Amino acid sequence: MKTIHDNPVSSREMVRMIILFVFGSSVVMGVNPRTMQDAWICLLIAAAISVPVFFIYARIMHLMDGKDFFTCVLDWFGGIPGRIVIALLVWYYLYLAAVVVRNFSEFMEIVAMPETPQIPMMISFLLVSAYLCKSRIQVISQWSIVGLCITVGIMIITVLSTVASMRPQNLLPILEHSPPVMMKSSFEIFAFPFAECVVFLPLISAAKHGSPYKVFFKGLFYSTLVLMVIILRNVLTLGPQLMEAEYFPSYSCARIMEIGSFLSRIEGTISINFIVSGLTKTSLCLYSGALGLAKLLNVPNKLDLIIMPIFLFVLMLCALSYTDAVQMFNFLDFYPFYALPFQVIVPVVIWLVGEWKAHSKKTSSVQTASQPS
Amino acid sequence: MKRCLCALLAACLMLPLAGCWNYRGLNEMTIVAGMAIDEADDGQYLMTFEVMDLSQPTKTEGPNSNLVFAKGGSILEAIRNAKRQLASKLYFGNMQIMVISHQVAEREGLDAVLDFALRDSEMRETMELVVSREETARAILSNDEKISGAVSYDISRIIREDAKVTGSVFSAQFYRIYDDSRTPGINVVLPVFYLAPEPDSDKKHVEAYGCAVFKGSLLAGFFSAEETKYLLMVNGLLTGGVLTFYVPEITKNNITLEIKKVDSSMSYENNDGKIAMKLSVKINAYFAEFPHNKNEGNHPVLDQVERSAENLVREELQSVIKKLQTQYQSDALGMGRLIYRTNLPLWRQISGRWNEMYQTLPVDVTVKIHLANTAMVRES
Amino acid sequence: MIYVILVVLFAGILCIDYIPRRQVMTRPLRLWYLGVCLFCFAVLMLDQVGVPFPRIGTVLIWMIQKIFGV
Repeated sequence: MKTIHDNPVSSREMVRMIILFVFGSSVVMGVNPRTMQDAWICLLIAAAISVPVFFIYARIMHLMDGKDFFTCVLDWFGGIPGRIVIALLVWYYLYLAAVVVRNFSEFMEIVAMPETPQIPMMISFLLVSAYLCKSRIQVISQWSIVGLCITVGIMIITVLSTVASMRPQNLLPILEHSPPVMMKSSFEIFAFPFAECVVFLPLISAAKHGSPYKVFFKGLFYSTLVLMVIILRNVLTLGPQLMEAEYFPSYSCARIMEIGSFLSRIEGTISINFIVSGLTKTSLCLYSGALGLAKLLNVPNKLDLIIMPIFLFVLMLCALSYTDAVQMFNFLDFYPFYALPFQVIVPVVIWLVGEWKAHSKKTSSVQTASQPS
Repeated sequence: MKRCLCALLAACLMLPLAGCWNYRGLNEMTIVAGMAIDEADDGQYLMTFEVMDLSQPTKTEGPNSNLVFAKGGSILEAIRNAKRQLASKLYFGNMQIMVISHQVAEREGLDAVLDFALRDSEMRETMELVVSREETARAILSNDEKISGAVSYDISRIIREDAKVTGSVFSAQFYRIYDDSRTPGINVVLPVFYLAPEPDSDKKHVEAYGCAVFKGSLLAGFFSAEETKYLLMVNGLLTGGVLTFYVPEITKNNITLEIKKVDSSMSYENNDGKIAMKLSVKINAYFAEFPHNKNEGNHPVLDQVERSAENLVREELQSVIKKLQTQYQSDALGMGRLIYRTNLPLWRQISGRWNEMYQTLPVDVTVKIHLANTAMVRES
Repeated sequence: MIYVILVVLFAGILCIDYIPRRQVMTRPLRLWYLGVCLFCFAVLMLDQVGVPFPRIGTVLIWMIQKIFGV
């Protein structure tokens, strides 16, 4: 069974990558603050909505039985339809990478460096991601161990530093918003960031041991926990009104924190969090996109030959993605509609075709077994 | 050869990507310690910036500050116009306070100031917003006596440490004010400073006056430092301060208690749409001053002192709340917010007429004072 | 300045990544590599010059509004 992943990765490292990936842009953009103090309830609803979708992703991996994802898709769908499916997924992965990098450069411009042009920031960010990509999945997984320690450590420090300014009454009144508003917000949280884990479909086959169900659901559980801590910290410290008004609530929260009178103004740590988790997210998206493109171009074992054109392509997408920061934030309202085909419809189609193939293989093997020799 | 070329190209790529694109040295910045917003005669904003003077050696002279004035049609325009007279652009990363004159607060309100301060990424959300009791806001910054090098830093420290020592001002950091101004059922309260005259001299110094309560985003009225102390007790903001009162039966001098801990709770009763508030304040205090003659009485005085102090606090609280309700009509204590947070359906019913209901809301105040110790000397 | 960065980036990619590994690539792959790099480089340079390319976000928002009527 040929696999294009060079070295296997443990399932624990895969879970870490999922957590860092989901953490990705949400660490700075916040987790849909539209519902203010009810955002934590929307997060839980979004996690619940993600369960069946993650189940489908894990089931697809189970049906593929350790084989490479794109090879299976081509086998199941045939030549042209298979290539169309792969092309759709590759587009989604690469555009997602471009959007994350654009988030990062807009964030840097708004909060830190308004006079610096964005292209150099995008290039430096993407170059590192491309290098991580070239180094293949094992290096990304080992990087994610370090990355997770850094991001969780910084998150714990920010929570401890803002404990003194927290006001539990900020969580009241509970369920102020109407069910339609809560459900809309939950779907938005589902689409960004949970269901973006569709990026992991080509990558799970690198985890040699451990069931895909465990990997996906453990990842969902821990990432929900991390996002819950972020939401609660933001609401309790900033207050629901300011959290909803700000573009980057986590960053503002970090600006307020103070430990005694000697340690303050450490909002740079939030930028570090974004860089670390954003890098991981971009690298994983680039890597999945590169795997798919390698399959389309028939060079599945020579991934590092095509990384640089992909890097330039994503750089171009990044420069052309939005007119300005306002459009970038507006697009968050439309993102669930854009992402729905890639996050839900395509995987469901793959799953159904996979189940059909598995079922027909079983019936044909039963028939051959029952035929007299 | 190829390797050299690659190395050279890699180095060329590193040069523009590493380092700072738009580095600003400390000598290119004018550090602003505090800002005052006034209205000029022609309707424009007149801004006063207290900037740190870095031309003198700070080791021998200590830090010092100067004032810079600028006018403009909006706050940002006035700030940019300041560059017409300054060699270096203003830097707001260390600004501690923003002072607004009471005319600006009465006529225009806080919306423009709040929006600008929070939108700008350089100004910090932990800045304090202060109202000036003087004719202009810049009068507060024009003072000569500066302990920390700038009046703004002095004011900021006074506000920070006030709740533990005197309980005479509210702390009003921008991010908290923004939240209070947008939350239903509560009005903003800001600290007020003025220039206090010194005895036998023309000199004046900056001193905390009390607080300013707002109705919506416009200034409604002022409370003195004494009254502010009782307001601070209500939401558990007071952690120190003194209570001075006169009990002629015990001693002819004033008795002073030092407040150590204040626990307060607010609740309400709803009888068919008629709301009644209940305020309960529990204070742990120490005897701080009890000048008396031993012959004035031999009976234990602790209970009597506690009762007198409780009466004092209750009466003052009731009078302050009455003033808030009738004279200023401002729900600065967050009674409406309590209903909004704990009983949303009820709040949705009454929020339209809360302003009228609040003015005649019955408030029942209970105060309990416990004297924990009498410091180094026995009480009798 | 940005033009310099883009040109150096493009030259760096070609010299460091493409030229040493030209022999390993098949001819179609080489054409694809150069084609994509040149295309992206051209678009980036023209975007810096000021040519008004339609933004992907604008196109997607328009499509979503047409399809879903949001």
